[in-house]
Amino acid sequence: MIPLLLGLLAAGPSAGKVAVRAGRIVPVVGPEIRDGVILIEDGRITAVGREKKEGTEEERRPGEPPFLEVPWDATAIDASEQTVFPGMVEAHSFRGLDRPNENVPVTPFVTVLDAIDPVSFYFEDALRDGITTILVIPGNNCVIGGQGRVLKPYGRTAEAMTVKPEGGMKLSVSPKSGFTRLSQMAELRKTFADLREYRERVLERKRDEREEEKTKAEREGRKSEAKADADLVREDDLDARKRPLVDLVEGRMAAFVWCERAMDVAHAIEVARENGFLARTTLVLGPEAWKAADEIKACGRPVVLDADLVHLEEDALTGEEKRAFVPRVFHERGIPFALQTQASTLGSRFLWYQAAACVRNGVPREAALRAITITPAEILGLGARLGSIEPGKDANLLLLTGDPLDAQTWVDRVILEGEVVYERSKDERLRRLLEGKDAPREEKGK
Amino acid sequence: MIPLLLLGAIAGDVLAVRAGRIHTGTGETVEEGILLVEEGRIRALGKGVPIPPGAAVLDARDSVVIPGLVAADSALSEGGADYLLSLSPHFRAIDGFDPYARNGPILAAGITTAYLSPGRNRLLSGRGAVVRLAGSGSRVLLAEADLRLAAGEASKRAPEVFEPPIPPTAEEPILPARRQLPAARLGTFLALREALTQAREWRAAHGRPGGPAYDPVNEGMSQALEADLPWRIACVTRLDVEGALDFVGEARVRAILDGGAEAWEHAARIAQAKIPVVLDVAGVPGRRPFEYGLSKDAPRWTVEGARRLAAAGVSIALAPASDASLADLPLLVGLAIRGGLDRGLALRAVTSQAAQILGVGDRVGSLEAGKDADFVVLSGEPFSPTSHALEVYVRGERVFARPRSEALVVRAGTVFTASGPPIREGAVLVEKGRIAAVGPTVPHPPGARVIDAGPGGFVTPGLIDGYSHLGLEGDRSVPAAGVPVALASSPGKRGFLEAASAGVTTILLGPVGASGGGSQVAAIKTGARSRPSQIVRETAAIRLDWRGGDRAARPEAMRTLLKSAKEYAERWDRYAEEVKKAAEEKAKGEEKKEEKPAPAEEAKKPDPITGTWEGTIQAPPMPRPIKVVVKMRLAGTEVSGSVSVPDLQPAEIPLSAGKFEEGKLTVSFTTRFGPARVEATLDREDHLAGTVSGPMGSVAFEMTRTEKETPAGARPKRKKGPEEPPLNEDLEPFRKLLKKETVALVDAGRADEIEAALGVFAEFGLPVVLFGAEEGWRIAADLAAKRVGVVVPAEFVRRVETEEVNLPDRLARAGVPVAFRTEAEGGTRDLPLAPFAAVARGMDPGEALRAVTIHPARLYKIDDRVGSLEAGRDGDLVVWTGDPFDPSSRILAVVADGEVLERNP
Repeated sequence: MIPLLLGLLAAGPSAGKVAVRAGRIVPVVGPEIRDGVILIEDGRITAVGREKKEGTEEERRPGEPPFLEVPWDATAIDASEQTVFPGMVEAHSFRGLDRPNENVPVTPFVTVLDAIDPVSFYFEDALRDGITTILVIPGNNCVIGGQGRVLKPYGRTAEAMTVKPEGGMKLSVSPKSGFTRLSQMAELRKTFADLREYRERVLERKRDEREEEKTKAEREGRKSEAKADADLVREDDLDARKRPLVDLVEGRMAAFVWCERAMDVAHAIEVARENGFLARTTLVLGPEAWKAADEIKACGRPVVLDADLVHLEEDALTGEEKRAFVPRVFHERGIPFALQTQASTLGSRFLWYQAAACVRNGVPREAALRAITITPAEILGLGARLGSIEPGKDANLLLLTGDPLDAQTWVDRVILEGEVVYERSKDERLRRLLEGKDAPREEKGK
Repeated sequence: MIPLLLLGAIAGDVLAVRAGRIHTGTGETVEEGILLVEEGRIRALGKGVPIPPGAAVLDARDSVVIPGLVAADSALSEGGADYLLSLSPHFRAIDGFDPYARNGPILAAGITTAYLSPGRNRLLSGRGAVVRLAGSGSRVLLAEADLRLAAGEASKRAPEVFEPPIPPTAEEPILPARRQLPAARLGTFLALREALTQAREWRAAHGRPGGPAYDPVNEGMSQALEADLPWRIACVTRLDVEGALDFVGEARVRAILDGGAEAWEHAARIAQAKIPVVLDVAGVPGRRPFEYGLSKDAPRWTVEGARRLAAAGVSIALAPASDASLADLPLLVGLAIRGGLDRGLALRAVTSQAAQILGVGDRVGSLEAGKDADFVVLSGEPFSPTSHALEVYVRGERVFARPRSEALVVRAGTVFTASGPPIREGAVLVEKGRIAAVGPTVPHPPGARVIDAGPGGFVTPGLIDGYSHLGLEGDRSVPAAGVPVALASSPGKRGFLEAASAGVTTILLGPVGASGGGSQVAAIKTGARSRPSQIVRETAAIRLDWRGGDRAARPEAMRTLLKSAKEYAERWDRYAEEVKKAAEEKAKGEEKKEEKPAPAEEAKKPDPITGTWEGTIQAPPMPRPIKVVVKMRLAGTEVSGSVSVPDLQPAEIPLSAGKFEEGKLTVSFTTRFGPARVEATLDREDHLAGTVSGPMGSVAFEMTRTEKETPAGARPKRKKGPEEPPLNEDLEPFRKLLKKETVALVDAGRADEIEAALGVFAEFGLPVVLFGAEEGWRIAADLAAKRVGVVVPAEFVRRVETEEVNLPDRLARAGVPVAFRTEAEGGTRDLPLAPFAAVARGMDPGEALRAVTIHPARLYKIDDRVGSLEAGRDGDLVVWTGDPFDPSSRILAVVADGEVLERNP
């Protein structure tokens, strides 16, 4: 009996069906839905549509979302006064870490896993502010900085927070402290030249082994045990320290290349192209790098923009100040871009604020919304799972008190993979923050 | 984004640059050349190259065009910050190049191409590159230009290198810090030989089974050998140079010597080996540049050294020394020229030769058909400290334009100041519309436009037309004295601008005819664009007629006019004084109140005149008698007051020159039609009878006293302040004349007329300028003695009996200041012909020029603004290609209020 009960509990309502009744759905991909319903099963969205009201004879017109029936056993979540928006995605961050490597120049074998601090306020704030997926990837101040990891800001251990362990490899073409661009590039070229030679040597060794085995077998008069695929380098043939870079150049790992300045962009593209990983490269840009937008467009790769969206430059001769609104430059050229936050008290620490700033500066709303949801999801290789409210995607939903780009909007609840993981009404720290430190004292006074 | 915007500039269209002078950079100079640019390249260059229709034309006829300068060394690549490896041939300077940089100050120095050094102070710092510093296309000219070495002291103290493997393993253990060569001078070339040998061996063996592993140093070196890059060896002392030459000969590599302070000692050997030399030009003036290996007293690179190398046939380039700013290159080269370096050689050493040495001579460094259109428009000769780059082009695209300062410098062989002696080889600086400086030299503010008329050139003040009708548009009416003629001028009108571009920047504008009552003459700028800036003086003169008619009556009429004007003016002066006094009293306040004993005693006593008189006048043209009211006040024998015609003209006309003596009253006043005079007798109490004689004739009248109070008393309660006298617009201009702020321009021709006129005006002590004075030559000495100037007629040469009289010449020789004038509207632009014609008939050319400049300015008292080239005067200049009296001389440019008027093509 007890095991049965336990089994029932384990299969309980949370893991099962959920129906979110929403006053307004902003799915990012596709048109908005008024008075809609989102059906979730096992943490995934199964359907998005409208609920047929009892007793009405409303017909579905073509192009409109389908009428859905809420299953009887689904846990109903009422957000009929609220706006439902996909969980926002941060495509590049080096926060939430405890002492990551920013020191040793070439460390492709290092992974960020060991530096993740699950109790960092960054993750707590991220959840509160509606960010549900984050790539943490340090190493801007390296040459090859190591591997990042895609996390959700929920969970007690780094493993539990992990959405995707293979976040990608961080490379930097901007000089590490103590380096010049000359030595930085020389170091990068040397690393990949070393790698090429290493792979050749492994192949050579395998070929030699096969030849040896062949002659040995011939001499012993038996069939050679050498495998036919001897000239394919297999994972276990490789030194663990070299394996991540081999994965990179063989296209099994994504690359995030830090370009602080516009002049770095050409180098990033050169390194990626020469070593065969351009197709999996995302450029992480500094504020001035927008000047290389034409080169970026030509290489066809997406970018993660700096949290400072405005770039100001002073003419050395005239003192004239030139202002560029960076996301607009990329939008106008049709380059996919993701927005980023930064540690600050207000404004640019919120992804929604960054998107709102884009709209304010002439980027269309749809493009701005994409830059905090589906585009970063695609950059992380999770476009099929995250970034929009569509059947088949993970049920990462924000229940908002208003429009996602409205400064008066609160994140009321956050649903992660079908489960409510954040409720503002129960957010003790937020309550204390809002009430101020005098609040308890006042209570005492009563 | 910005490069995209500029792309349009290079696409397709043709740019034609009309230059005053073009230095091609290969030693040739083209005067008044034309440079055609198409698709970023030079299509043609030369004198008289036809400009294709539709081409954009850059007018640089005041300017000198040179190729964009080539800096044969720079620390623009971040590799300028050095690294610890003593051998790093795998470092590429191009990696540290920012192709998006604006490079404003460097472009402003005219530098468009630069060599990027991978580092200066290491034995083998890497591979240099050559880049453009601006432009929207690719800026890389040569990604790998050379292998850069430092042979001298600079590289001697190589640091130890500690590179622990991370993580250390059995195969890759931690090794102690590695020592690097060279540690002493001996080690320098030893290390190089070793590196070269190793690289050659590695190259042969690497990639073969059992061959050595990948090594970045050997790889970099072998790539350099593969590409046959020249070895650019920095060497300072004679020993360094010797070592470098030995090494180069032995290693059989191409070479460039760099720095080379003492390279000239081996000039012959260097020439024989056909090795070019990049010479560092020393840094900041007044500071001795630091150089490794040279003792404090050792000779610096000398101009002599550069000269000797060049003389031996060595190709040299000049580059800024390591402690100098790249943007100072033109200045440093200028200093070298000052030290004796040949100008042409210096230019080649930072253009064509530098480009050749760097390996980009086929594309940049010279202005030749087919080469990239990288050029600089300079305000003067290159390397002169007073020259500045005005515009810089890279591949036909304008990448720098100096914000033009308001300043203008005009240089010429002769600066005719008009007020002082002419200056040979002088210049004029015009700033903010005014002349800021005149002299043999003047300051050259950066960005100033420079017009250099050359040694034969001539600069004069803007010409002044002594009297003109320009702007009246055929109006022949003679306006009353109160009408400001300046209103007839209209800024920017075609006729005005035509006159201005003919060099006539100021005219004295007056009516065609003259009247007895006077008309105003205004001083007007022809080149001005707005009315306030157009008017120099609203009333520069009052033209008064003294010609023909009743010669006997004229002196008296003029006296009357002047008298009434004087009284009018005095009344205003009194008023001004009273106002002043009242203000003072008010300031004194209470003190004054006490000393106020009854002053009315005198007023109690009735007098025969004081009071209001009324009468009627029957004048012939008037259909019925008109009522006249006269208010008078007697003080002693002086009578003052006013007259008014309540039905026709309620305004009170002031009375002047009023006298009451022995029962007879005489008083004058001025009507709209002219002065009038009253003569009457007090035939009985409160009754006057007499005549009024005015411009219309004489008429008898009678009038009776209706009130005995003083006119002042009769008026509405006086305010506390003094009473303002009635305004008479037609007399207003005369107030200026009486204050000698303006002059009487007296239209008189005959000698007797002139003498009579001068007599009358002398009575009043008024300044006179004669207008016409056809017979003035007869009394020239007298005129000179009386310091009377003459505005001569447009036709100033007359035949008198058998003699041809050149009036301005006769007058000028006697010492009379003369001004030329024009007639008819179109005549103004021909004013420059007047002095020409006068000189052709014997007049002194200097005096003839002064007759269209300083003389009219002084005669009309506008010499504080125009007429001479002096600091503080208006920026009005005429630039001539030669002496204005040389028939082939033409006007090169006209400057009006500091603005260069558009020139004819």
